Amino acid sequence: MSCLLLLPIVLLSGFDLGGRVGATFPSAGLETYHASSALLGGFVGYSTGRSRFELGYSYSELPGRQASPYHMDIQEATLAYGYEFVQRPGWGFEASAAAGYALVRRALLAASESGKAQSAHIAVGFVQHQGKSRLSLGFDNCVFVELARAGTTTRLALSYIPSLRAGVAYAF
Amino acid sequence: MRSKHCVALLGLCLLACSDMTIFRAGHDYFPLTSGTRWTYNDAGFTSIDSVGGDSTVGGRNAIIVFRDFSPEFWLKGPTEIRRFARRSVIRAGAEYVLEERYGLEYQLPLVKGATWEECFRDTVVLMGTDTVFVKDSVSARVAGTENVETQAGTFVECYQVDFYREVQTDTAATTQYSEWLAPGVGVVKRRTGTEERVLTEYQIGP
Repeated sequence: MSCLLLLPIVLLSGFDLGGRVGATFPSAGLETYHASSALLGGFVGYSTGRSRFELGYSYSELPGRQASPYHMDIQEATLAYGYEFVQRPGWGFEASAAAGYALVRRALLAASESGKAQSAHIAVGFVQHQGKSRLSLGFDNCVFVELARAGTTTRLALSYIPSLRAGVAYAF
Repeated sequence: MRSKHCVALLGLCLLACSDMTIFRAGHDYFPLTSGTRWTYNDAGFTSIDSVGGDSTVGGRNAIIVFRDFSPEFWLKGPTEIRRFARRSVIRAGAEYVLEERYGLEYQLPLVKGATWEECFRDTVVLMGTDTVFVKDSVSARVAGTENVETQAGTFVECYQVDFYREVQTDTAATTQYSEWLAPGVGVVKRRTGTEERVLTEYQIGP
């Protein structure tokens, strides 16, 4: 009996490698000049029991509005921890938190400016395990954190960009 | 305790590595909401600009901006900001319109190194025989970002935009000036030659 209970844990432990697609929705002022866009990415994960660690990369290019030649690219690397708070044989629901580092580039015709920002993610989603595949579908809340200093004035800026993400991974 | 300090220090170091690119991308550098009001010190004199509502001018629904209580008509979209320009001359008691259009002021969004230009040319015949060549051109470049200190406060991540304007009708005039636009506030400083127009007070509309 105990072996049967351990079986899902053994099956769910180990490394996986996958890719994800999604949609990014600029908000909190960003929507004025940016339209929604697709998101592409990849990740390496390690699952043990209900916990999961993930090293991920994502890329999204937010286009300008009204066919503007403007766009903003965000490339981000994240390190995430997830916990499957509902776990059933074959599927579950997972909540995760991640810290990230992003490279940002804004371009308008030949002009461009680039920068970097830290990010924090809180996500919740559905996961399905079947054989060696791991399927995930979730909602990710990303807040980019930036800091500016001017003399004695320090300003902390938070920019919120939510996204819907779907990923598929192959478990080793 | 030491580890907590280390974590806090690491966090601050990481934050210090950011350079506000997303912040700039998400802010309006030229708010034209009704009720917005800017007070400037213009070479020792106080001048007040304000946004007053909207009106249909030149077939477009424009935003009324009062510059020292004199109305101007502006159009604002996601890619540009235009201002209504009207020039005319009076000959033998009759008014002849030389220029009547929305001229380009800013190309949006502002990005370091971005340039834009627009040139209006026309030839207007006055009283059947006299001709006037009209030229109104503007070229601008986003020179960079900097923090600006004014009496109204310290503004971070302001874009500096350098303008070159040339107007030619009966006479010709050229103007070179720079503006500093602050996120969520608008123009906080304008320099023409050695003269400066600096924000002293402001109120952003709802």
